[in-house]
Amino acid sequence: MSCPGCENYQTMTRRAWLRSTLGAAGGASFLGLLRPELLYALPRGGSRTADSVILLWMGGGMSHLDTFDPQPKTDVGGPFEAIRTTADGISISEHLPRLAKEFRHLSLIRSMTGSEFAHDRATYQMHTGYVPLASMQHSTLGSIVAKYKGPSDRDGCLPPYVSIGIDWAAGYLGPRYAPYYLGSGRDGDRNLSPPGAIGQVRFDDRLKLLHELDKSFKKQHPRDAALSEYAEHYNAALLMMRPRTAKVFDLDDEPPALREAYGSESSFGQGCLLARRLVQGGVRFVEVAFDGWDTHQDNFETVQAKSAELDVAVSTLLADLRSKKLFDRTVVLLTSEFGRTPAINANKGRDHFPQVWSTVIGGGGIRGGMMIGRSDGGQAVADRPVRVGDLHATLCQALGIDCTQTNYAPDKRPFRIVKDESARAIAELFA
Amino acid sequence: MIDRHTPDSAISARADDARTSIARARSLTVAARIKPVAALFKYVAVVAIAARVSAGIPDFTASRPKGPRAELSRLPHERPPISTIKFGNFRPFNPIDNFILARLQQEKIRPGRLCDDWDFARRASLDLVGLVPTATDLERYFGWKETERRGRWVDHLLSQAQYADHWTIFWGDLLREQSRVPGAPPDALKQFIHGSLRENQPYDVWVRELMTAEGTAEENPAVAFLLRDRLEPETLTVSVTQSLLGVQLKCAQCHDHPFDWWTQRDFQGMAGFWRGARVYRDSMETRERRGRVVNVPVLGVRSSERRAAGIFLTGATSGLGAGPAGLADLLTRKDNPYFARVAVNRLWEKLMGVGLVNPADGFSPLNPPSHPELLGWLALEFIDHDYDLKHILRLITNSRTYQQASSLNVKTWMPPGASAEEGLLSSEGSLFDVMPLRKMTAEQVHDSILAATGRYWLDEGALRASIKQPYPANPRSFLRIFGAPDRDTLLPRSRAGSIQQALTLLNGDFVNRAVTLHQDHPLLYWQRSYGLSTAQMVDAMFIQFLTRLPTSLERRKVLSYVGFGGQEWAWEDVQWALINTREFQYIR
Repeated sequence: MSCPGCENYQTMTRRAWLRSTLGAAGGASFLGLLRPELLYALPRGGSRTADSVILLWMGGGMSHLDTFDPQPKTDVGGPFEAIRTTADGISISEHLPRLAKEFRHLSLIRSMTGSEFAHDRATYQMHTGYVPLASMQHSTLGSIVAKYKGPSDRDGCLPPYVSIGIDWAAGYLGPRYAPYYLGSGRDGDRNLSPPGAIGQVRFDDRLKLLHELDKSFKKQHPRDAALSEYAEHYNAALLMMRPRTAKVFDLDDEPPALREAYGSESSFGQGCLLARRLVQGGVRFVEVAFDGWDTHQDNFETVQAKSAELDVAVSTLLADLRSKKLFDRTVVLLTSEFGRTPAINANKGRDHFPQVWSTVIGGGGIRGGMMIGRSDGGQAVADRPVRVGDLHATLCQALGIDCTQTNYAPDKRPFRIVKDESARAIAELFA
Repeated sequence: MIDRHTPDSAISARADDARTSIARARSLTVAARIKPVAALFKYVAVVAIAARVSAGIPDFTASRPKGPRAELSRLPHERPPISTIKFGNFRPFNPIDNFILARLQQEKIRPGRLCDDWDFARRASLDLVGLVPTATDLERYFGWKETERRGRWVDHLLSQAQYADHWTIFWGDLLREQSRVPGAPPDALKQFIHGSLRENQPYDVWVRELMTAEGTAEENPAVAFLLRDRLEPETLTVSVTQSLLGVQLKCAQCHDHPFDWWTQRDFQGMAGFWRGARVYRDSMETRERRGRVVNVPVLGVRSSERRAAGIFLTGATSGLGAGPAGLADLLTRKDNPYFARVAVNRLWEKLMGVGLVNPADGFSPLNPPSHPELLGWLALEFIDHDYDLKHILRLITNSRTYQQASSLNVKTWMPPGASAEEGLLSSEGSLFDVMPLRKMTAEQVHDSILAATGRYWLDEGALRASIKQPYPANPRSFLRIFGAPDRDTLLPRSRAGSIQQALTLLNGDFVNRAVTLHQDHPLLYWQRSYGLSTAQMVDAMFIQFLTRLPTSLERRKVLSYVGFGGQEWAWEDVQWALINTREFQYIR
């Protein structure tokens, strides 16, 4: 067996390796361990340049007026000034200077619009394209990308969808495309290897015993969906435990200077660094969450502090992606669930505002330096409204996924990748 | 589902808006001092809030239900008659079965066969006390006469101390209990719930105590429930109506509900009850927090009828006032169509996997129960037995329906008229022809591992029972990885597995430490007390962890692994393997 890039395991004998799988507990999984790409296999979509997506999720509703759509010297603008960026005609908040220098590689959508006021509903809608229902859990765009792009050539042992700091259920696409959840990039996952006292040899022995015991239960419940889901997770977990794969999550592998550049105290920054490593390792969709933007109180203080952290992390990420020649194959998307009110409230804060907000997008063959849509002083969409469906359609086009396709839930209900039939990818972003 | 720590500050923001508007309206009221004019101003304030809050909110008239408003039907005065049932060899064990079997007969579906005694022991133990049964318990169980066995087992479980532990977590989820409540001592609410369950207080009594709690949490721990939400009327309204009344009013805070009849008026009516109490600062207290000594306020709750303006969901008002006392009265009245039904439905859902009303917080004429007479019967049974929770649990677990063998294919049922496309309110119900194969909750997995390794009662540091841990658990903890909620929202627990769960069981510290042979480990105890042979020890391990005997093949495999020496590390590996089998985590 030759899993690409897993030389360490070639030191084990073939028989030992075969015995140490849960292969017999689920036919497909056995094959999967010989050829990991078959575990996640699905035909690819068309041919475009982008292979992966990094979604930088600003949780809480990032104030667009104090970041990417500044309105200096107006009633609603607040105290921040605007600075020019390397993109013609685009100015952003003075507290994002390094990001401003990167803007010729990025495009800015100032006319994002939606209609959900509540965090959980708006977040759900931005991630899945659907509004939450009592009866159904939709799959997020990450799961869809993981399914349609399939595993990469590089290392089929990494889960195709990783989510750092925010957790999602698998939805109707099932557990194979559920995100691998990490609380934070910095701390990694200690459970990727057996504890020192156990060691690899003993672990393999235990695993063989476990495999034997599992056979019996499976005989009694041969086709239970829940149990085969269990096998999926176990098989994926065992794949991730391979030393070379587990190493991807170890940030100590990076030069200290680079870790410093991302922000050594910043959990978000280290998450961005991990995202780069994951994309390098072939992960299709990485989401890194940065919470705390829900500034009902002390909006300006908080946004200024967070902007500093954001600035450092994202500008370093973009430069890093370019230096590793990943930028043209990775779409970077920075967005939030809604914006914040132009009116400043009694606590020096801003409240929820889904009428208009901003999104930054770049990489993966998407044109940089463009401004898409405008807002009317940050208070309403002035031109070219962009809804979540349009955004998802844009991502799909960059990745070469046909967004009009339909997936079926286990109960046969159909779900289009992009719900709204009138949604269109933003043509201006594609040369 | 989202797993986040950010509370829904939209509610707080709107609360601020609403409060300032109402305060302004009320100051006008006081100045005017004329009742009719006061009422007018109150109305104006409500409309003003509605107008302001609804600016920019889309119009839901298209999706709202058409026609005159429909209310949930009242409970019948008497219990619905139990139909005699003649369905082949399937005989009912108690009235619950009459309803279920009658329906299955009507739909021409065969009921499932009964589960065996081993399965029943495991299932009832996990459902009633949250632990797998130990070999010692099972020895006693199989010592009883076969015909009495299951009934006595249920009685035995309901009398255990672990009953309160397990159900404190269940009710704690619904009440969003958190260990750290500003102004109250740690775990105050947990102690209150635990005490109420230990003494088997009637459900209506302790709910009433929660709603009307006064004083500081030190004097009256029930106060922690109100302090947890800082007595914000809007937050409490959303949470209490969802958990205890089974309706989702959240949307109706800002606009009329998009697909049910609830309006903002209903929301403000319910919120009005909470305006009849307020938080006050009782004193300051020094406490140590992370090595520093800090001064923290001790808060309390006091009722003040002056601002109370409560109107119940049914439109009823109470003679006991328009504040929390009035709410407690209306909540627990027999003519409240929600309270008892919602409670028995939640108990049913926990034991049977699917509620009679599904989802359990979707009570509406648009989402009828799968078995309406059964739900009515159970609710009246509950009320007539003074809201005794254990009585209902006993009834359900002693029914034939509960004791069916578990299986994959449960016959489902869709409420008539439900749109399969949108499914906005309703979900598939069940006909209960078999017991679905359910996955254990986080606490059940955690505590079962501790029980099977003899550690549940030891209370050691990192290996403490779930009930001893502060809630919500740390996001990276075992419990959260397995789906324990953040206790901020009332989203239902995710029952899905994950790669993280697999990795936690494969490599995590918790399992690896739990399986070490400490001096009170059952294995060593059996060796000392019974002088079991290695083969007998293998059988005992299977009984302890999987509540069954090993097959001859399994016994052979494990024996050859352990060898005749039976070394410590080998037994650790056997336990590890038993915990990691998929079978362990499922409730057969």
